[in-house]
Amino acid sequence: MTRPPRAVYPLAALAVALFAVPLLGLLWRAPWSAVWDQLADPDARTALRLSLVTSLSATVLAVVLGIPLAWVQARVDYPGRSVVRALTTLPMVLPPVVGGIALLLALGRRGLIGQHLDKVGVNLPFHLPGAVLAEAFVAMPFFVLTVEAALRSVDTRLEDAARTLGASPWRVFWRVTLPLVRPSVIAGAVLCWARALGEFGATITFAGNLAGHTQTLPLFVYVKLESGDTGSAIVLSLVLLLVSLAVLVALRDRWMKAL
Amino acid sequence: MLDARIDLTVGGFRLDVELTAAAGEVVAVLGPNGAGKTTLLRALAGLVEGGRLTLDGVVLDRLPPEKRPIGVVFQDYLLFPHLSVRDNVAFGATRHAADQWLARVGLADRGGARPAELSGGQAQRVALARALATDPTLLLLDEPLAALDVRTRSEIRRDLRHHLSDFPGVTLLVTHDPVDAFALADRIVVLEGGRVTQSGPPADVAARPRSDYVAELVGTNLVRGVAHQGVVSTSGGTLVAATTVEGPVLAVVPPGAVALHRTHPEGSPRNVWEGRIAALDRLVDRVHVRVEGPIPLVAAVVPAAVEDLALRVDDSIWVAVKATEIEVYPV
Repeated sequence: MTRPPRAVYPLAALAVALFAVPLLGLLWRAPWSAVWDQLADPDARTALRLSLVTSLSATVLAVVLGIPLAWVQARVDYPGRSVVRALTTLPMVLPPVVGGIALLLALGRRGLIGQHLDKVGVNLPFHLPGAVLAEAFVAMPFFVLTVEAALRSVDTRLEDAARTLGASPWRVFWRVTLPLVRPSVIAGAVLCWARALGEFGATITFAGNLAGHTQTLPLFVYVKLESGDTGSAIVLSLVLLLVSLAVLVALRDRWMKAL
Repeated sequence: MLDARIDLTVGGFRLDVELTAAAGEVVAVLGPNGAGKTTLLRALAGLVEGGRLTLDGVVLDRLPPEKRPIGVVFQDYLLFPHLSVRDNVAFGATRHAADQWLARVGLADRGGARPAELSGGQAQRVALARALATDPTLLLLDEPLAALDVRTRSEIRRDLRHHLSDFPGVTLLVTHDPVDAFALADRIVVLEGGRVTQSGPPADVAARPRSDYVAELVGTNLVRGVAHQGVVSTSGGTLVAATTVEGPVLAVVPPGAVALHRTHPEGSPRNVWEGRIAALDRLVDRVHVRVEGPIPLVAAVVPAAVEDLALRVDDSIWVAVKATEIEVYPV
């Protein structure tokens, strides 16, 4: 292995600083003595609860729909598969606010599909299910890509062996394939959940910023900062940072491998 | 009773094989790599489509793999890594049957182990137990001993032979190793380039090879020619043989029957010619001397003879074969 020349190290260190300094700033300004008071604030708690409810619901939605999608993408060779892959990966690179607008135009009260939903009394935008949908839209690709990659790496001859032992394709999936990719399913779900928890742009655009209804933790942090209550914003930012960090530490090897 | 005609094309490779076998019979499909052995097995199991298949009078062509009464022991065994040994065997059978089969292959105490904890020989036995526990009427084995080292191999081969003799259904085993084929099978089917080139009891296949591949496997010389009044004419020369067969023939010249001389030999041998040594292959107890000439042959000599005659590649050498040592049979 050839080591990089010396001149590279300062630049690499600068890159690390780019990530580390903002975090230090957060820690430096944190009102440590008031942490518990800030966390005890009923409005903050409501936002935290909404965040947990929406992000977990979005994750469940991503798993329920994402496993079939990953299964088809990994095993069925159909024309347009790469188009579907691009489409379902798009939210990872799309600005979330664009995703929010797109959701609004499709599922808003006058949207492509929303106008019909409106007639039957289903109202997504500016309601909790809308927040769930916005988060799922942005976070699901993390789950699908992780699981699809895992499914591709499964030795399909094991599935053949299960067939010759009398197992139907359903049973093969439940008894052989899924257990073999379980670590990646868990990793993908955690990754998806972390992304949903931090979702801001699509949620505020599609679901709005209604305190107690669709105001999730990142939105609450933003509002607090705008209104000058930096102490609260910092403490809740630390909470989100801690969660993200915990997720990365828990997945550090698997995440890299699965993607 | 198995009656199959597998006919399929995969990526430009055509496999066209007709197979019949009686209950209790062990048939070895022997062939070089790429002959289509594994594809044949997968087609019979229903994992690839193509051809027709009846087993005990029941047509199975249209049935998916899980509906066919066929057990498969795969190459590398393909035990499910996330399941215990007992759960592997019970995958297609009841727990009761699984425990019985584990006991029969001598692994009753390993039921709780993971496949990764097993030795190669144990994994092979678990794979066999898993396939037999489903009570199949056709058992397919894909290179069942290829993954084992030499020491466990002969032991597992003996075990396998014992289990196969107890198995009431048809056994079809696919292998590129003649030792396995000859040790385990009642009948050998030679598969080359997607087609059957020879079929018969092991002794017949060994005594009368029908292709260069088989001749090489059993370690003998195969010569093609036309026989007339005891003389076999080949493209390069003639062989005098003690035979009454007429017409297109194959002639087997055992390497041990080919004598080498530094000078023109005197005496009874009918077939004598001068050739050139192309190669010397040293085996454990003998040396195979490849002699180019009117009829290229391999001679088997003891290492001492190589020293005495000072045999070197490119040397000229006299070849002598007695007519009575040559086995001649119609094509």
